[in-house]
Amino acid sequence: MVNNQGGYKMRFLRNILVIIFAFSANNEIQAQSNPGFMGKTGLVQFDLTGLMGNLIYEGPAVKVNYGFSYEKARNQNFAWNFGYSQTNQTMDYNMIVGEYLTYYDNGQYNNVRDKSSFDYLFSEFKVTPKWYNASQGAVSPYGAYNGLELSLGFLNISNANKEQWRQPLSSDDGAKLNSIPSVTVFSASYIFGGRRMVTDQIGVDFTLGMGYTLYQTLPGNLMDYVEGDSYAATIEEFYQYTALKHMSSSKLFQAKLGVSYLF
Amino acid sequence: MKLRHLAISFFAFSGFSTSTYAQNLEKNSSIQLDFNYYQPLSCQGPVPLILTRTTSSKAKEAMKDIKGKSGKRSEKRTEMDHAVESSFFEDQLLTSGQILYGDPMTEYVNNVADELLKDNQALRDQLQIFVLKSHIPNAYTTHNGIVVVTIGLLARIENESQLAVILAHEIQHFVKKHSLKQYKEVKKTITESRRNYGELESKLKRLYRFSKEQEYEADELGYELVKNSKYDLSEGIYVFEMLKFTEYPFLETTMTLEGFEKPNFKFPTYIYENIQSQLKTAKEFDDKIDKEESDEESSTHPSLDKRIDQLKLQVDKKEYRGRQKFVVGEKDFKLMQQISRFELLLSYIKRADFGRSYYLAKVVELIYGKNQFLNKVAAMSLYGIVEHKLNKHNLDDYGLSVNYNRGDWRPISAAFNKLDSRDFGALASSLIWEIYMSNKSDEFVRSICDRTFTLMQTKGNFKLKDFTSFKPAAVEPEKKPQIDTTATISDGKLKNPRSRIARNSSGEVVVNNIYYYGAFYHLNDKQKADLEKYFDSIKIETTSYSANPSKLSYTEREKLDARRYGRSNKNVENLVLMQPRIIYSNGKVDMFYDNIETKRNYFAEEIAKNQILDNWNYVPNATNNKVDVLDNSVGKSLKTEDLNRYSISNDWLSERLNNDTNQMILFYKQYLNGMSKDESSPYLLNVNYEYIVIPRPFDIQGLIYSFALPFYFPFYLAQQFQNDCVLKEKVMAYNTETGRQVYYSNKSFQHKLNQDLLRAHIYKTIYEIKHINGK
Repeated sequence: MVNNQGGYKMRFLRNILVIIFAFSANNEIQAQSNPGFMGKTGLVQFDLTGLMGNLIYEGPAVKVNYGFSYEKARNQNFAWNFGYSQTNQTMDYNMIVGEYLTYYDNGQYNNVRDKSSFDYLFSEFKVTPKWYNASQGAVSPYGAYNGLELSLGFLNISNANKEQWRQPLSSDDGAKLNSIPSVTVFSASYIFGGRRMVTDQIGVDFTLGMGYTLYQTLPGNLMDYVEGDSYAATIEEFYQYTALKHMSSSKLFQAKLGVSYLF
Repeated sequence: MKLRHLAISFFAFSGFSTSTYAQNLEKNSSIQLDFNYYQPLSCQGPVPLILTRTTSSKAKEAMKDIKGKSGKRSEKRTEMDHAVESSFFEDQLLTSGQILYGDPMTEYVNNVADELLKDNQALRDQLQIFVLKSHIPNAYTTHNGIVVVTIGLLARIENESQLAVILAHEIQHFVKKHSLKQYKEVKKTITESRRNYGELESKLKRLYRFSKEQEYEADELGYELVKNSKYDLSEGIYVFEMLKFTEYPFLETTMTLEGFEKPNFKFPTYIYENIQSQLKTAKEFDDKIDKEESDEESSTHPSLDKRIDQLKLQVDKKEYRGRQKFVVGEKDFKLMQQISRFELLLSYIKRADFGRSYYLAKVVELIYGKNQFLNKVAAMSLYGIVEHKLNKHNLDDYGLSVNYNRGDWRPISAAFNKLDSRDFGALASSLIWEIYMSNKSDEFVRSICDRTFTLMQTKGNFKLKDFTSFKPAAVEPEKKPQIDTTATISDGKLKNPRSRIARNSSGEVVVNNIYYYGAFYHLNDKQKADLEKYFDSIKIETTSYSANPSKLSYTEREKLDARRYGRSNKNVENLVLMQPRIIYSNGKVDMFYDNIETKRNYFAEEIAKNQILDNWNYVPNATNNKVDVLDNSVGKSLKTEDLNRYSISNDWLSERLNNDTNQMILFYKQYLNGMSKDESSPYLLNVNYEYIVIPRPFDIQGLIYSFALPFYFPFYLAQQFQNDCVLKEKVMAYNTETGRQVYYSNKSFQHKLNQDLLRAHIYKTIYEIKHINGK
């Protein structure tokens, strides 16, 4: 069940992203002429991102996601980058921690669920304004840059029906879950890195970043869950928060390696 | 019988002479010299062998030889440093575009050296002699046996023996390795001078400036060399005397302001009083300088008078008298002298020394006769002064310094300097007009004429009728300049040059009471009609607002000038790039970044230079742009043609930089045909890089942080073992048609010198130049 108040905020943020996209796509807006790298001002890139935030949180230390992006230089020092990436993760029993999943009865602690796992898929659409550093010799889209990556992501849980739940979280023992709605996430990352050219058209990109989830559509403050406090009112929310917590914390430190084709 | 023998002897003699002369002519027959339309001398023939090997290979070989010798390590280190600096500097000198080989002057000087060292072929084979296109009368010898004589010196010497004495002296500097000894003494390194033209001469002076003792030693040993030849050692006295008068023109003629006046064109009276007071001040300055230089104790130069005295002791010996003044040939000497004087005029024009170039053009005219080239030099000089006057520049920088022009060119310098821009402009326009009318087909003079009149109207605040207005005046006879080229030799001294101001035959200063402006009044009706037609053709407006610039402010007149003359640049199609230069240094810095010491890394510099050149050749081709790269890199592929093309571009650029104006017609525009492979007027691009690599000092703070935050440690290591690199890039582009600077960029990057960075920036430069108008 999604809180409707969050929906308004989300629509607002989505609209902001759309406006940015529309603005940047407008070919008539040219601040300065740009030589590009040997005349090439656009590129497509395939990249691998290692999300390393869980070095300090629980879960797999490094997650890898795959993505591709398109970048267009607007002037010598500025470019817009539009990307898509996705990652999927299987959350096994041991990755899910929740003290509230046990109850005390008859002198012992009992789990409310059996051991099993679920999957989540996180897809992101990103818009990144990038500022190329002229003092480092950069000429967009070549050279050192920093930027602000704004992303709109969708977290989808799957294969959760293997989970068996017991009371008090389910009405009956052995109840199965219905489908879990996706969570919309809006996050921002500060990135910095550089692109070097291997040939006149092929480049290698290395980026470091630090990300933070700004807003998501679940009720409550995500940080409460990151810190481990219980909040989940339903089993569905429990899955969503667990996955989201994992996903968000992994974004804290990121390292990306990409291969670009300039044109 | 006797007559027949006489005839045979005569023909035999003339045949011998003819064959000798023919031989000399043959050596020079590849160049047809036309002094009427004189072209700057260029290198001829194959590239000297020394330039066919890369500098680093020569330097490494020299270092290897030194390593193999016995001796202290520190001394060998110094010697190796000297060998490396010398090798790199010599090659830079030889490919600077200022050195001549294969031309008649250099051939002649080499022939004199051959004669001098006839009995020492081994020594002769170690020497290579060139002529340097410099106005300073001097000669230099490098560590590796390169002897350079300047055109300033060749223009002043009077005979072959004097040249022989000079060469003998320079050869001894090489034989005695004075350069290395001096280097060890002071451990100086070559430092760069900022000004483009003066850089080479500054380096030459710093690296090859010998001590007083070394100079005296070279004198003594040089005299021995001359004594063993056919040359007259006593001519050395006149060489030293000549060196005392380097601030004077090589020959003088009386030139007065009155000589320019015409019956209806006079200068204002104030100017004559002004000149007198200036001359007085200048004389006091002369006395001060002379006093400083004559103090042997404190001076770093050996005293010329002392050298003369020492030489006189040698020549007093009877057996060294009566030698020959000419051995190779007097005709060859005269030709060499004439060429050097014409080249000297070009050198002064290039330096924007207009006061001197104008004066010397008149001197040369009196010696060799009027000709079109001298007319052009005179026209250019006058125009140059007008341009700088109207731009309110300090005319001391343009050859009109009263203090530094000693001799008969001093009064005219004073006069030209102090004349109001309108007064001088009226004179200059009149003279340039006359030159133009004497040869209307000369496009260059036409362009100068157009520009001068345009300037006078826009910046000069002249109305059309100002050129031809007339008021009644008393008629005075025209006074012609007098030539005085006799050098009275008494007591072994040359005649002292005099300074005179405008005087009448009684020696009184002539002061006119009435001042007129009719610079063209003297023209007859037909000539006036030609003038009117000319004004029409260059669209000098007579009735519009802009024709009355007196109502405009100076800034508005500047804009008018820019609009009239500074047409916006057409699409840049043809770019010519002078070989980019780079200075590569390794730096050292202390922990607190207080003190950065840099040392030039010549070997890395050569590699970087080649890398830059390769990329400048690559990028235009890869991006469908046309950039003609003038490559003067030392090595197997170097050709004389390439050096000459580079030389022309360097000359044009020197002239442009020495003029330091927004735009100006330049004399060397006439010779640009040889620079570009494309026929259209090119844009000239000059790119200089400076690269400093500084290893980072020990970062104790970072180390401490990484103990506290272990995951930071890899970042700390990456930071600590990186070098700080700074790449400075200075780019200038000029429209060679108008002299206007169309692009300027001076940037600094904290980045390594790598290929993709170079390519990005090379393309960016080409792109920005081509989009100068923002389109």
